[in-house]
Amino acid sequence: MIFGKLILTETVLHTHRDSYILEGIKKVSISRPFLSSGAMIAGLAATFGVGFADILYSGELMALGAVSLSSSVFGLSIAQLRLISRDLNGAQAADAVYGTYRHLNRERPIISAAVDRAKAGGAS
Amino acid sequence: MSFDLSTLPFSPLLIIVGLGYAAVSAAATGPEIVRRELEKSGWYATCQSEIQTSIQATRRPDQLIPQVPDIGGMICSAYPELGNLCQIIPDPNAAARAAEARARELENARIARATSGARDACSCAEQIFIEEQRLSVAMYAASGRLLSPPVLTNRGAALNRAMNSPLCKQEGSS
Repeated sequence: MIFGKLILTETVLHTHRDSYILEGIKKVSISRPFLSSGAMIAGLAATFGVGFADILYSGELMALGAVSLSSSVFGLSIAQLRLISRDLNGAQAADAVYGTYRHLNRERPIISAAVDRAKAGGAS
Repeated sequence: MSFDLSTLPFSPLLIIVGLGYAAVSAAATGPEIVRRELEKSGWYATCQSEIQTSIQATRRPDQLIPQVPDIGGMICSAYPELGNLCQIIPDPNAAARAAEARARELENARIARATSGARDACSCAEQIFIEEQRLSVAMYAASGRLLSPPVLTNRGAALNRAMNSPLCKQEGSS
């Protein structure tokens, strides 16, 4: 699942907000921007629940478990596609698009291949 | 001076999550955890019974006025045939008995009033304790008992101090 739009043509990658010229892209990267905060929320909720299990109601324990589980899943599954620009000397061009890690990671080699093709086409 | 959050070695979201958790611990979960622990430890019952005992200790003696022999009553019990005569002789204790009953009534009302304020005084002590130890309470709740400041390990002394504060004494006597 991708939040927004990701359309790849021969020379341009279009998202819902921006269009990127493939020739200028140096690196295509996938990151999990919410992994650390999701893990932190999960850890804190679990610590609180385990620490005070004797005085919490069962509904509260279940809610804490749900928060812990959902934030872990959210942190692990939400990813961000990043395009690093060649022209900006390695600087990040944009946080292009958000989506599930599995889906974006499937798209990454396809975009890389398109970047290679665009560069080969531009050089010839 | 501008500050670029993206240059931090960790996600700025971590700071937001940490600050949010600290705020929730200080404002909501910390006080609630301490309240539940006090309830579970039976502190309220102990607190109320201690207050009631100390109030009962201040009860004034029942008999306020020394009894004077009731001559009329004595004559009537010894000589029932002199009923008319003994009715003429007034009972010297009647006024004293009425005064004593009235004093006892007032005393009972005072004790009942003071006892009914015991719960308020205990709640007041708990409230003051939480307010005074807000940081320790937040740390204790946020760490899930991993950090236990001494004031929370030995909270009885701090609660007694809070109960003896002028604010709670006023609450208990109202």
